[in-house]
Amino acid sequence: MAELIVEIVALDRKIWTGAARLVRVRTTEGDIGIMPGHESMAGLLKPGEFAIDRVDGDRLRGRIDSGLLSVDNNRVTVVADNVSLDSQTRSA
Amino acid sequence: MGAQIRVYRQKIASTSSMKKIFKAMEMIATSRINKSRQSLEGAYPYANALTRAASQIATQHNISHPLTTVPDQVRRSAVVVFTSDRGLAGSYSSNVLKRTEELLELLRSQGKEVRVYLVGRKAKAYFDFRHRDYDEFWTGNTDNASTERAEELTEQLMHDINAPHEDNGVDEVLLVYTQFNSMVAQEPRVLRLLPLEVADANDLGDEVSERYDSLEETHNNFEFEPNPEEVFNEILPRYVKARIYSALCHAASSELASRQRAMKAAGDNATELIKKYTRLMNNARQAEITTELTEIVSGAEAL
Repeated sequence: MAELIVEIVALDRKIWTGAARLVRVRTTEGDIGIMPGHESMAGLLKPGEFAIDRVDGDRLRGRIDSGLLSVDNNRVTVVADNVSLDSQTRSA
Repeated sequence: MGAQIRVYRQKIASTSSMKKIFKAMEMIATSRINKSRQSLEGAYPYANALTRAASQIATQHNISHPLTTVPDQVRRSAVVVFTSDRGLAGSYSSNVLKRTEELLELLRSQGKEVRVYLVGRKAKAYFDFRHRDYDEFWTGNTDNASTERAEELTEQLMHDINAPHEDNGVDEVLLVYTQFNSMVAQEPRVLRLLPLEVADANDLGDEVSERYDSLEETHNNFEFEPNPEEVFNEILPRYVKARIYSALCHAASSELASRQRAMKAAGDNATELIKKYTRLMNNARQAEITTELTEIVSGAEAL
């Protein structure tokens, strides 16, 4: 099965990058779940939680203050202004 | 004669203590430069992500935004100068200032007014000493790029570019900073930050496009939430911030590299100087002994 390549970046560093099956974030229009094969899109993020289901089954959670989301060809990029990860999981 | 030896001994002592300082500064610069280069690397993903998103919007939608529209006539420019706080970094700051002087002269000869923003104590001292006007300055921590500094600068510049001309608004923003190419090559350069040219991603900036992987592949139609205009409005200021942060990182890395090189050269020169003085001192001592012997021998002969 195809998987998503997820990248969470802040101004001064890459927060997390890895493969995932599902990415959930909150945009200005509401919560959105992105699975492999999602159409290309770009959206604005609202303050809220996000969750990433990694391919190895672990779930990565965190909070985001504001930012942008872009999805293109199974490549998900979250550009965050202020982000915190709940779990200790770092770059895979 | 003894006096001459004492003079040399003093010179050797002071040169060795200076050499210790040079050595220490060189080592500090060396240890910090790796961290600085990492933050330079760390700035790429953010800029890349924004570049990709911005050019996708720009290719699909014909949005005109104040930040991307080139005004018919540029009446006032803002120039941001990135220098260091401290000296002992070779010609680092003076190269940037020289480049700034050329730029200011060019802008004024084109009949543009200039607003000058200074980063680093060296730039401020330079302008103060010559009684030149500048509009705002930031000092401290020039060898350690911070996101806060990038945010402050972005805020100021965004305010200026959005302000009407009568209210000190500017039509373009130029950055003068030192590009960090490698440990041995850094060059001062001028970058036009605003208005942005987003039409072609490859024009966006060399270091972004170099690492930019194949935009051409994507011909998908993008969905926007809530709409292209608002997404664009959010992307552009962030993009400006990313470019400013990248300039700060380049400047910090270049400063440290220049300092390391300058201190290495100073340390080497100190070693040479110590060697030279030691030889002169030995010479003087030998001359003294010879004189003494001659005196004794001629004294014995006289008896």
